[in-house]
Amino acid sequence: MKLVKKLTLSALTLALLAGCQSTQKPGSSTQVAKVSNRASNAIVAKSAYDFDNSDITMPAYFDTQGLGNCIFDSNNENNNCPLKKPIIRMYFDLAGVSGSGIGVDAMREFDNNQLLLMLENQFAGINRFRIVTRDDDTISKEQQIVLEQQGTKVLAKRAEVKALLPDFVMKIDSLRTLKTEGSITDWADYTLELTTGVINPQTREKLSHPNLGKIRVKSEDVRDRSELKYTMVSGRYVAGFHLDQSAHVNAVLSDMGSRGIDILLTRMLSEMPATAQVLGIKGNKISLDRGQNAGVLPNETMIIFTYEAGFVEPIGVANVKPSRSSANGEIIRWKNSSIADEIKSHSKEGIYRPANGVKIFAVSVGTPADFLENRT
Amino acid sequence: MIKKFSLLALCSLSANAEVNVLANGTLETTACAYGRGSVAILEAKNQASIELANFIKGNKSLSAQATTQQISSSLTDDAATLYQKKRSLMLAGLNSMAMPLNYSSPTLSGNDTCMKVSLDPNQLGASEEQNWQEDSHDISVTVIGEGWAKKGKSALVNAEQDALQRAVSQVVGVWLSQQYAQSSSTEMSIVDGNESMHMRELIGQQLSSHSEGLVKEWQTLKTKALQGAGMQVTLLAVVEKAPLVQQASQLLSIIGSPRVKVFAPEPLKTELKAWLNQQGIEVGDSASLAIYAQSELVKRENNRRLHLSIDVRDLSGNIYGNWKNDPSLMSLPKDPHVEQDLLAVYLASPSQSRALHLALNQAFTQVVARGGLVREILLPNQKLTEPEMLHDVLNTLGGVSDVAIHKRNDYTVASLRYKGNTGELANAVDQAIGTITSKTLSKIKIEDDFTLRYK
Repeated sequence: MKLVKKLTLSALTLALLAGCQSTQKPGSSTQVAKVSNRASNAIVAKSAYDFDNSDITMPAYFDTQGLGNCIFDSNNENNNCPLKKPIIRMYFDLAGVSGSGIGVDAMREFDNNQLLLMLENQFAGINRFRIVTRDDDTISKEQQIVLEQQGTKVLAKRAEVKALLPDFVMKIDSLRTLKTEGSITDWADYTLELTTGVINPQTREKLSHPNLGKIRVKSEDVRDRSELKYTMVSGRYVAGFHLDQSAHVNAVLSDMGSRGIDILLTRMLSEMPATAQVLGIKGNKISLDRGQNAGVLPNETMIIFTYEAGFVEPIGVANVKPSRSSANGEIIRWKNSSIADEIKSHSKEGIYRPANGVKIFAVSVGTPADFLENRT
Repeated sequence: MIKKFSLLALCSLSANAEVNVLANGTLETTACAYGRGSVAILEAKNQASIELANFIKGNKSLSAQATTQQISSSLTDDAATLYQKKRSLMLAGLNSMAMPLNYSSPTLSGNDTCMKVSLDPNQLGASEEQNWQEDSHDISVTVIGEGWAKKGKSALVNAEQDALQRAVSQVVGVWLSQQYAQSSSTEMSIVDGNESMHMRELIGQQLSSHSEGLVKEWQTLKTKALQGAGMQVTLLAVVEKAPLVQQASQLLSIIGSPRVKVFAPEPLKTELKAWLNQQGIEVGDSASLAIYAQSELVKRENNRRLHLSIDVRDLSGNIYGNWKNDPSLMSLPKDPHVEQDLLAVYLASPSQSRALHLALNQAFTQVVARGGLVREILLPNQKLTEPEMLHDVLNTLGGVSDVAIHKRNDYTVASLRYKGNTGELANAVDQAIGTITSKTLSKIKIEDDFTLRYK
């Protein structure tokens, strides 16, 4: 106790001395942080109905490009059109598992092709990219059936249309690890880490955006720990989880991969939000110039903001439902601000159409609140 | 004037979309169409012109009966008379979608794309008369020819001959370029400009040897003496179209469809023969041109692709053209019949079939351009009295080029290119060769399209 007192005193004196020596405290803009090793989680938007006034703020990565340059032909769209989507081909790569051991061989035999197709399906659905599938077997099977049912000429004519040429390659790199304690009764602890790279196949440049970070999935996220319990006697499997059989291990790894893809999707939707221009406001209803074609999802939570001379002012939060090439929404909460009040009062009298250099846009906050429930 | 327009206002109301009349007589309406992009814009434009046409149809004149309806816009007398004058013109123009309408830039409205369209009667000019140029039977060209005294002909005659040949060549050029401009589906579909220049020269060369029959009349415009007792003449030549076109097309068809032999493994051979027959290219065993084809299946996991390569060669092995398919067009799953299926699809594919046809035609053209097919004439060594003269004798024959002589066993072999058919060559050789061979030489024997043999 004494020691503690002494130490505290000396520390105080030191601090006082330091204070005396220089009148200015040296600045510091960094701090030590812990590197997280925890499993990743999905982050989704709040429902517009749950927003408070202070929640109505601008999300990152909004885009205020109008549709003026668009020609609405997906195959020859103008580069300055926000509806132009990059064409990508996807790869799902598994780093090889080296070493030996009872569970390692089983982990090595893992077929990632099905995961790749799942990835393609899920990414196609959010409409941020145009995806060229690598499902060659289905395509050639289909061509064979067309040949059988419609004949050579029809197939030959069809074959004239070439596959899309990808602008980018998206590659999911993954790392699998297995950890066991080595005691008689133990549980298998698998970890799957995913990172995403977008590569320009011509220049070999890895693009900085979208930056999806690293996703870590642990086996305990998809299976109860007791399910992965096993018993070994003198190095041989006796009972419990079959960590020596690839079918059982693959089931766990596939579930982990699937969860990883879900988290990837939610990050993608935050990194690449859907933006649309507001054509008019009538009461609380808004009409947007883009819908499904710009990747607006059902029940999208969107922040409505004015854009003038480079400044943005959020004016409210809306719940939006898309149609094919436009969307309709309802402003659930207006922001407490004079700009919002002015627009609100105008829109009460009839249709308010932004004019005189002021533009109004809507930008999605991230993954819609009910997306994980309904789409994954 | 307000009265005059009141009826218009009524009609426009009944037509659902509003047509506004501006003070200068301009009619203006807004139309919307579902969707985005050029299709929607076009639809909106069409919709608007239909609205305008309906509006004009419903209003025969601007001096309508008075009604109680009032419209704010007032119309000048001039505009009203203009409207009456141009009414039928506007209607006809709108119905045939050929009216100069003014369009605003498109605006978006929910799912629709909208356009404001206006029609200004002041902008309508008088209807233009169309000048269809009468097709003439002859073409006149002015050409310059040069010539020097040679082979017993005077310099003037040679210069005239040269000028007439140039005239024919020029007209062939005009005909060819017109031919390709008019249709893209001619037997010889030649794509780029170089190719048609090439054809023009080629056909001009071939036809100009009998330019007399093609030039109807000509007159000398100017003559000038050249150095070395030469002459330069400027002629105005009238070339008759019909015989020229006939001869040129004949030539084209010869180039387009010679007889060929096919060397290929089955099933490619059968498929290829069937395709060649479909394209009007005759296939036979005694042909002077050969098509060598190869196919290879490329494996990729469970699927197979086809690489196809086709060469055109003559019997001495010269390659005149080559074609390869585009294997990326399709793949089929592994199957015992996959090669046959892929072959059938490739030969049925419009782009591949067109490319192959073009490659073959280019190859056949090459044959003509290089001076005809290669033939070999075999003479027994002991019956050749003046072997050193053989080269010269053969070279003087019309249509012969690239003469080369070598020995093979007991024979002296002359290989040469000849423009015409083998029979013609045999006749020409038989007549010329008597002076340098012994009397016991046999008649020439045509062994095949490639080989002519003396005994």
